[in-house]
Amino acid sequence: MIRFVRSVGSQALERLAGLGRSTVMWATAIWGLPGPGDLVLVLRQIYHVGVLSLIIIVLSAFSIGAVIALQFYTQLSRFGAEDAVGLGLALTLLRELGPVVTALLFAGRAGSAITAEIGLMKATEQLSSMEMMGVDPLHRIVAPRLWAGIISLPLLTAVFNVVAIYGGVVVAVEWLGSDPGAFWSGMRDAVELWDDVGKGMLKSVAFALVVTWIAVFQGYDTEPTAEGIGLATTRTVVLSSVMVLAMDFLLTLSMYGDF
Amino acid sequence: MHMRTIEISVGAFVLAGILALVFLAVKVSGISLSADRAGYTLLARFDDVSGLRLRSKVSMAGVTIGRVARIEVDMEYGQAVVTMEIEGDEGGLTADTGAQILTEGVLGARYVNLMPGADEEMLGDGDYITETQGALVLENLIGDLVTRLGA
Amino acid sequence: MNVVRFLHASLCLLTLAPLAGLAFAEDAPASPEAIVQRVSDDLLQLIDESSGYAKEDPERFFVEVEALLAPSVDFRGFARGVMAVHYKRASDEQRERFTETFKWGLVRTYALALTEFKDGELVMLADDRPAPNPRRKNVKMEIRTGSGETYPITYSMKLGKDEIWRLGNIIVNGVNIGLTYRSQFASAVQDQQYEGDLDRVIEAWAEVLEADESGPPGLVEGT
Repeated sequence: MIRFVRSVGSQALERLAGLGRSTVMWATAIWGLPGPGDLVLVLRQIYHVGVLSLIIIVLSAFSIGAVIALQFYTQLSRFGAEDAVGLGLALTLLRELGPVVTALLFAGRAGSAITAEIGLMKATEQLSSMEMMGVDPLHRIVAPRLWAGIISLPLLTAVFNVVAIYGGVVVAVEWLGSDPGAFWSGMRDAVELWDDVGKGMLKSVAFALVVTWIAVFQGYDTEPTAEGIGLATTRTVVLSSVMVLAMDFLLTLSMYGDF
Repeated sequence: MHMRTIEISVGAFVLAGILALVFLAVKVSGISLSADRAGYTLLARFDDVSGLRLRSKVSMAGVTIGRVARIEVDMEYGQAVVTMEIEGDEGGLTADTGAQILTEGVLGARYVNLMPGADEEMLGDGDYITETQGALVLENLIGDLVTRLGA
Repeated sequence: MNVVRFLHASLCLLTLAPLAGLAFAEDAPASPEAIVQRVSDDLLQLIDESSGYAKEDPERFFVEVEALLAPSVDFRGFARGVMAVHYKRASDEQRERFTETFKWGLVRTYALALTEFKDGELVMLADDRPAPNPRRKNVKMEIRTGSGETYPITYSMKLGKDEIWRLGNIIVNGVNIGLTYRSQFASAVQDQQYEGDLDRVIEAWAEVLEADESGPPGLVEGT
């Protein structure tokens, strides 16, 4: 019994220590704002993290938009309210699905890649040799990836939203015959620039910070073994997903709360 | 991977993202890109504005001609005072224009419907609309009234 | 008995004031509240007196009610508010015709409700607040029926060019009657079956009301 409590306690302490380490790392990395020379590094990371994620984002967005539109249309037509498909779709995407799904996909594709990359560098001693050469790995490896994530995720979210809406247009308007005028005007009347688009983007920035932070830290902190890297990437995806979903709930409560 | 390719693709990616944001802002939320067109303010007092919100639309003959800018309470008279921003130049609405709060669509969004009257004088910037019809109440009794008139 | 109809009946409460005013030759125009109060009292009297013949000879009752109302209710202004934008493009003859139709419609539809106004009281709610426009005053009343129900009613009084206060609009239980009619008139003009022809709309207004009750005297030939 005592052993159980002790193990729980030590695990808790270990987690806290991990959080502490990651905060220090994060702060140090952010402090080292990339100068003009580092722009190349950031650019390169944006490519790996953002551009390469486009395919999965676009494909998922289209499918999700189509499916949501289909479901909305089916249910709304029971009340003769098919004209509200546009606005239902837009609000759902802009406020919730856009930021959250993009963040989850990002964590899975780009997050795990970052963790694996950094973890590999650690395992193959590249990080320590960099330190020995007087190059700050936080500055050269971690910071660019952090910035790349923070820049890419919101952009990806915007692209996701647009593609998903078009997915919805294809299904609702082209296929199911909903009136395009009602679709778009209903959407326009109900969607607010700051309230819906703005807050959704704010969410995705928050998610970007969290996901990238977790991804980078897990890589940096991993056991320098092949097994360790594997565990780290898994942890990145799981932890990111949980955090994104939990934060989404809290953010939604605070942004749209009047409950 | 050539640096050039990376630069181009990142540039394209960022551009796509920004265009997506612009699309969302304009097409989806309906923000108008043109410079602020001339507009003027009208006010109206209602006994009941249930469901009316900021930025609810103000329309006439089915066309949106403005938005609700403020909703306040006049404690003394126990009425709601609604401030509306109307597009265009003042003097387009008669002094006896009526303002009703109606419901639109399945989701029941409230909006202000303006009905022009027959007065020679026109409403100016900051004027009050005197003939008003609040929300809810209309729904309770309109059925009754309509039956009476056989319309 | 229908509440709304009953409440519209209060239009008839503005009756004998001008006659009383002539008799007493006041110099200053009577205040809107005074007019309304005096009229309420006079109307209750009329109801009592006509109870004998109102049901059997409604025509006579309608005429009496109309005669009492005419000096104190601005039917023309009321009708003008109902026609709204269409007033401008209507000919004088059309405007006159609609005013008559509208007036008789109201009288006919709601006068009978008056006869059932027993054991009720009409209470004026004092309102000493200064009105923003000195030529307009909203007089608030409350009708309390015998069965204990209370209904708010507001008379929108306007001071005419001849310095006499008249009723321009009423708001019954929160419903702005003038605006409601305006909306209906506008819908009728839009309606396919009338093709925007004002004459047909005016005629239809009469028919609709005619179908509801027996026709008012003189309406059919007088049109």
